Amino acid sequence: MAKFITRRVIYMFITFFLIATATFFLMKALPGSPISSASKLSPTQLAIVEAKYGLDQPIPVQYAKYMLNLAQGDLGNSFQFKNASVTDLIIDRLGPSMILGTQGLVLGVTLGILLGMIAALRQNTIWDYGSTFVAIIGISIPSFVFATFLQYWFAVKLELFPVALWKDGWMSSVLPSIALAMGPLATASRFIRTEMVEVLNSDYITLAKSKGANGFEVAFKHAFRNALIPLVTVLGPLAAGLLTGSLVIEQIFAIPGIGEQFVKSIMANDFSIIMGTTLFFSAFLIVVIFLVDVLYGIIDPRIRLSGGKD
Amino acid sequence: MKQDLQKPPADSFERIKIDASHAERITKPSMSFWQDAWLRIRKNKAAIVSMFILAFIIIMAFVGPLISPHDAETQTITHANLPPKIPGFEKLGIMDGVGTLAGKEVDLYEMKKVDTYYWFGTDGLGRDMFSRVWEGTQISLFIAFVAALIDMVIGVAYGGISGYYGGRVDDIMQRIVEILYGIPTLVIVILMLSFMDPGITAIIIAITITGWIGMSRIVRGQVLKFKNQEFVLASRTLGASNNRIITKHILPNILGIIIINTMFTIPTAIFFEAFLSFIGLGLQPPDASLGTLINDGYKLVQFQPHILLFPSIIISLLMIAFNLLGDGLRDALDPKMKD
Repeated sequence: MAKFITRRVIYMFITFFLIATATFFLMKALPGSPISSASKLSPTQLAIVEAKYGLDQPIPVQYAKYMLNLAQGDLGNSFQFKNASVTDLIIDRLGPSMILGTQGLVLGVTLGILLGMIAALRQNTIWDYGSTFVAIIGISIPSFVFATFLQYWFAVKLELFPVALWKDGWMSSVLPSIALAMGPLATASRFIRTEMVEVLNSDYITLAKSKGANGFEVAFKHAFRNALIPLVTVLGPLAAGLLTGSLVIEQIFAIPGIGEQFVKSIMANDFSIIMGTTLFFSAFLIVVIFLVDVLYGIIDPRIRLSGGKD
Repeated sequence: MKQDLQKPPADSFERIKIDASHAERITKPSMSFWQDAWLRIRKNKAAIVSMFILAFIIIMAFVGPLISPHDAETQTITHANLPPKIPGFEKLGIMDGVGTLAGKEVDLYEMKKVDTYYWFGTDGLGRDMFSRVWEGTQISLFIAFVAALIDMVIGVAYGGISGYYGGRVDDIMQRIVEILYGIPTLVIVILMLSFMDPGITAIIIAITITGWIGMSRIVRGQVLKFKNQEFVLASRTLGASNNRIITKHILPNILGIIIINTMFTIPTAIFFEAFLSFIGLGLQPPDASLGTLINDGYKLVQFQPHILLFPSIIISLLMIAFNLLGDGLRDALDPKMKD
């Protein structure tokens, strides 16, 4: 186990290092100068500004500096927001994104597990088909299409919720959370259904039934707990999906989160925020995938991941 | 009337000869893998319906702009923001050209003195939405198919070489994949797109740059499984070249899995294209895909919901149909599920 974790940590750092390096060189390869009024400045002024940002030094030196700063959590300054530090900008925006992400994930996974269990326990009935239908819809309809329709019907037409406002407490987080929850809901319900059907056909369930355990006990005490373990493996892809979703959903509901800022920076060509947020997203996803791998090894006693072998 | 059962008349029975060769005869016609798969997928109603929906959308994507009386590019400013109006439907009270103007329901066609029909309405520049939607579908489908094809070719080649040759080649190739696999798709796509000039090529490159990894892992696993099986060893003993073993023995066996995986790549590519266009990294005007049309419609949803409605319906139908067809194909082609 220790060997496996060490190996994974090393890979984690290599991956992040590669992303950071690629980010740096892509930024350098971009046409034009990061100084927006470069053509209006005299050569002396330009030299002063370039010296201030360290742009006069050779690329390898700049690269080393960038990497050192990155190791200390410094992502550079924004061009757009009066030189504010990108790290601060990201931290400021973290709150709403985290609230939404957590609500979406919890809501989606809980409902998904419920739907999946109902489908597995009532196989080939209307319940089963209904939950499969919901899962297909959840996987297929793009989150931004779903979100715009939620917004149009429940906020604009029926006026039940605020259209795009992040002030009214939980009311304003209802629609975006539902929109975010569709993906996790669909994935979790399909996954739990498959697992439950497999577990319900296994010998120990037959044994439990023959010993006189009632249906409820069999479903929850014996089957559900075992079906739940593999769900951990989809948490990584789910986190990635939530990130993708948050980019558009924060934009649609005007939520002051990281995703919304990111999309705005793309429109405004603010490369330091684009790169900084990209690195932040990568770090987040890499850590989540790592944690999921380790967690899976710990909670499932049947799987002892051994290092050295694939 | 009592019959003598003990002694039946000699002519009521006839002795037949048993022909031993008949026991081995195959009475049902022999079926190829594909006929077998077709028999199974035919029973799957969802997959069949999906196939018809897909066929309809694909045909319409090419025929739609041709049958519409208006073309996608012409801007008729006097015809701007018209709601949909379809001949025949207008008597039913839907698609009758009635829209809201300043809070009142009015027939906008009558008001603006427009005597033609715009089946899906028009956008803010007076362009025909019917033509635009189907041309957008064409571009979205094109991006998705090309991306899926590239993913398939690179993935099969990479996974195949890695699995078939094994040893050090495999070791090095798999370490590279392991590192690439850790890079989140979203991140790499956004990085590539902020670097390249936006356009169809840029989107295809961005989608395929990490998209092939899933395919290569699956193909490698399958090749590893098959390459040491008896029929491959037998063929090798008879002197077959690597080339022949790969094309004649291994590829036909993993074809099913390659097809299933490609079927699931297509909706992912459609989604990614639309997603990127929606956040402003995708196609730029005058190119239009379903994603950019949804983006345009979203900005006007309060006043002109029809601009958002039609591209959204088509992208949702496409995604649902591809996913259901993929599910059906998996059940039909996956030998493990064979009943």
